[in-house]
Amino acid sequence: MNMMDYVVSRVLQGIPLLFGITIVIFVVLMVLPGDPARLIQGEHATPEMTAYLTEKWGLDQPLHIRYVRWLSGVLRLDFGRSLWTNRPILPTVISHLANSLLLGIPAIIGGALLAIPIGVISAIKPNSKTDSLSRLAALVGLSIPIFWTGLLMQLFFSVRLGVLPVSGMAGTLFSVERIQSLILPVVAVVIVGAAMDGRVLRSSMLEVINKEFILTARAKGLSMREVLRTHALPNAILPFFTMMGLHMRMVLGGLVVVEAVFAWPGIGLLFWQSVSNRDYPTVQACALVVATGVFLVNLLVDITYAYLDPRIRFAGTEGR
Amino acid sequence: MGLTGGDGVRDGDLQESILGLENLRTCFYTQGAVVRAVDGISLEIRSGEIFGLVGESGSGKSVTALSIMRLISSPGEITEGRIIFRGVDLVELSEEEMRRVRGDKISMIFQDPTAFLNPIMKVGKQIAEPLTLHRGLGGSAARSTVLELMGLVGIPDPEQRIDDYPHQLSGGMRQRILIASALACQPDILIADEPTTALDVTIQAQILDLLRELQRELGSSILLITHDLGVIAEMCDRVAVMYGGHIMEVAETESVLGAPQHPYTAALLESLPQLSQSKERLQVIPGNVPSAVTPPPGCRFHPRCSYTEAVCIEKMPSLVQLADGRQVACHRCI
Amino acid sequence: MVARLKSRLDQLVQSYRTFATSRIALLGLVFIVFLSLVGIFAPILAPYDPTKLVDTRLLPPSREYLFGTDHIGRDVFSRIVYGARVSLIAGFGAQLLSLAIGMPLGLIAGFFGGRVDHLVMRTVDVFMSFPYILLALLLASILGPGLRNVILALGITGWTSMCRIARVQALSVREAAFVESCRAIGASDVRIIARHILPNSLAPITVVATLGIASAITGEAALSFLGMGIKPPEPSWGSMLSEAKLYLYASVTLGIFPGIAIMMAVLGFNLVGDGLRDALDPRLRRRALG
Repeated sequence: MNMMDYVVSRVLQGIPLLFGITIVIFVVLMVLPGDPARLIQGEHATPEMTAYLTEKWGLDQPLHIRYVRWLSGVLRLDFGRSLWTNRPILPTVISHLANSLLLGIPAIIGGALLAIPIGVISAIKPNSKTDSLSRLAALVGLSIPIFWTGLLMQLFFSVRLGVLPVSGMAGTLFSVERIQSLILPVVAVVIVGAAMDGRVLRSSMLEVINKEFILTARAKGLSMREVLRTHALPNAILPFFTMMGLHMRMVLGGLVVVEAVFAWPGIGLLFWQSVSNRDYPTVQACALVVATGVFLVNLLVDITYAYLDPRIRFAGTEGR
Repeated sequence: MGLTGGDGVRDGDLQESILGLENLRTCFYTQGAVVRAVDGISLEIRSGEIFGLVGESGSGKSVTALSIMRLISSPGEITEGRIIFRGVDLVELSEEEMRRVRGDKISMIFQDPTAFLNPIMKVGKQIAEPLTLHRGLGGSAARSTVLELMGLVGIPDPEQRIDDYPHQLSGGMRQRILIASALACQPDILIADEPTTALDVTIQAQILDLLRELQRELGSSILLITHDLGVIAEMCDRVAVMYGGHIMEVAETESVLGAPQHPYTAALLESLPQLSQSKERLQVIPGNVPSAVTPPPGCRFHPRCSYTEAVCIEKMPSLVQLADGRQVACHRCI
Repeated sequence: MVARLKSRLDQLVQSYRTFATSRIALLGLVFIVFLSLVGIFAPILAPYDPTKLVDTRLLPPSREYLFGTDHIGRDVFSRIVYGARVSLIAGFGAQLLSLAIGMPLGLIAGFFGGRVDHLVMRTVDVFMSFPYILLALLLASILGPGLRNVILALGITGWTSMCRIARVQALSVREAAFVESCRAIGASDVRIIARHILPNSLAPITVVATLGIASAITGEAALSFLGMGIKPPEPSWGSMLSEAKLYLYASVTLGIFPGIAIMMAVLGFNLVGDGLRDALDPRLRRRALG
């Protein structure tokens, strides 16, 4: 098994991609209008202060010098300090990334669990009333803007009933307050996730259910339920993993609107705020972390896929 | 009338009927049309025999097999008739009761072992499924039985192969896996639907040999479905010829192949190169397989038959037993 | 030739029938037509100037102000009506731009293969290394607010799925026999792409484009919601929602109507896209496009 070789070669391929991305991001940020040295002082900007900050942050240096300086820092895992808060960037980015995962992973799992019954029921009786209804429901779920669901839930659960906090991340990890503040944003994401997963699962289940080996399984005397559980679902779940990868990429910044609605300090929120504040180094760090994360997720999905599908895992040992 | 002569007397208990189809009719409902894929057939399969069901594609052979398994799913349905297995009408059984018959008392193997095996389940597990389900075998007991079965069906190195996935085996080996899983519970009847069609010629012979050997060893009856008269000649004790959802002729294999009474059987034999060596050219039955949606009136075969008379168009002939014990559905033979 | 034309026509009729009998897809079409009419006739339908203050702030819905007034006293109904224009123009505009970028790149990559294909696909990889919305956010922030810039930001970031589908189409058609024969009689590459590959790829491209409009409309709403899109006082459903968020405790209705409007628009295009997919290409339905 040369899974290790595969992983190594994938990582080697990924390095130039990430390198290219850092250059693109760096150049793109340079054309951002607005001078951070002045912006940061707000309304009381003085030319002296601006000149001082420009020099201090090296904004007067030529582009390539700044890039090399930045890159050598990155390679030592030093992303510099935020122009806005003057705190070291890396710990900030990492804690925001962790918060995004805290929101995203339960949401992905919840969405998938919800999607399985929907997709299965839909696929068993295609074009039935239940199927049409759940297809429509899935499309509606996909079409509702996620920040609006968030807003509606805030209106109902927080303003009307007052049972859950409106926004923010309260308490410490695993505390009741933290869990309470997680509920609404997670549910908002679950709705979209379940809708997407349900649609994918329905179509892959439909495909699998009409495969011949399902007939073999039934001819053995397995009940429809067992056939679905042990034969159809494991086969239909493979495309599902591509979907999980898509969701994970989503979690890496794509949930910015949810994080904005619920003031959830995730990586998307940090990116958005840093772009608004012209906090270049933080934007750069976020972008690099997101791109690296996406790359790792893709790699993980491919490895999982190979692991789950023996036809890929044993490629090359065909019909020995 | 010598009709009472042969039947039931000759071989006594050995010839006891194990499965009887009585006027079985299976229909498919598609876009306003009703297709009678199996149109009122009666058959009897005896204990310990290999019974052949032969016919062109679209004649209703496979639907017959799936009807016996009660695996016809919507838009198809068994609309009429009885399937008597050991005195019990399978049509009347609940789905739950029928599940206990499938894979245990009656099991089935299919045409294309590649498509009919689950690609992401280890072959050992696939063989073990009926054992776990019907015999409650699990863990090491199931494993050792599976190894035994794999040896029985001629898979070399069962220990090596038991944890393989289907794509790691050759086509012939895959068919052996399907056979092993079908025979796991020593069923009374094995239904084999074109078991060799998807295989290489050399492998075909091996699989047929294996089936015959296993049938002798286990004493199961086999319902062998095929379009290949050569396979019938080699394998079957008795054979039924099917055409357009009807049974045309049923008899001992030698008499059907040696002296066919039904014009369709005769035509089918004519089209077979090995058995009609005297002929210079291969004869092809003129005309097409009848439309299943709007079948011809009277005898299904009359548009292609060279002996068609007025009565053939008016009336459907029923299956009648002749003096030598064979049954034929043809106005000419009465 | 006549036979080919006829079979093509039959296919179209069949597709039309499938689409027309799908009540769900028709519902989507009704949504789109309705919102388009609202957008076109906005000056007639809207009782007030959407950017002007008309009364006391945060009034509840009444006969005078159908959907009430907003946090500074503008008529919400008029803003929703004019918002339809903004939303649809942004959706169509961004998707058109994505089409203009993605389709030629995809067709070229698929048709020529090799190095060109590699270059295009690596570019797609770079774009796909970030969630779509983050890139759009970055671009919108560089370009500044306004409808034109929103269209640019969404169009430039949203072309990858169009590129991929066009590439797959070109790849599959490239090997077809009739393309070979065109080559044999000396047709130029451009001619082969324009006359043969493009028409054959139209069905899936239409589906992806329709679904793309839906995601561009969501994108505009999201950017405006984040303050990087259409800036008040210009009416945009997305920015109306972000204002509503600030007055969560003061007014319920403020957050309801813009959301319904966005949902109607997005759902409309998603329903039609889904219906088109079923009608135009049954094979596409089975591929899990999500």
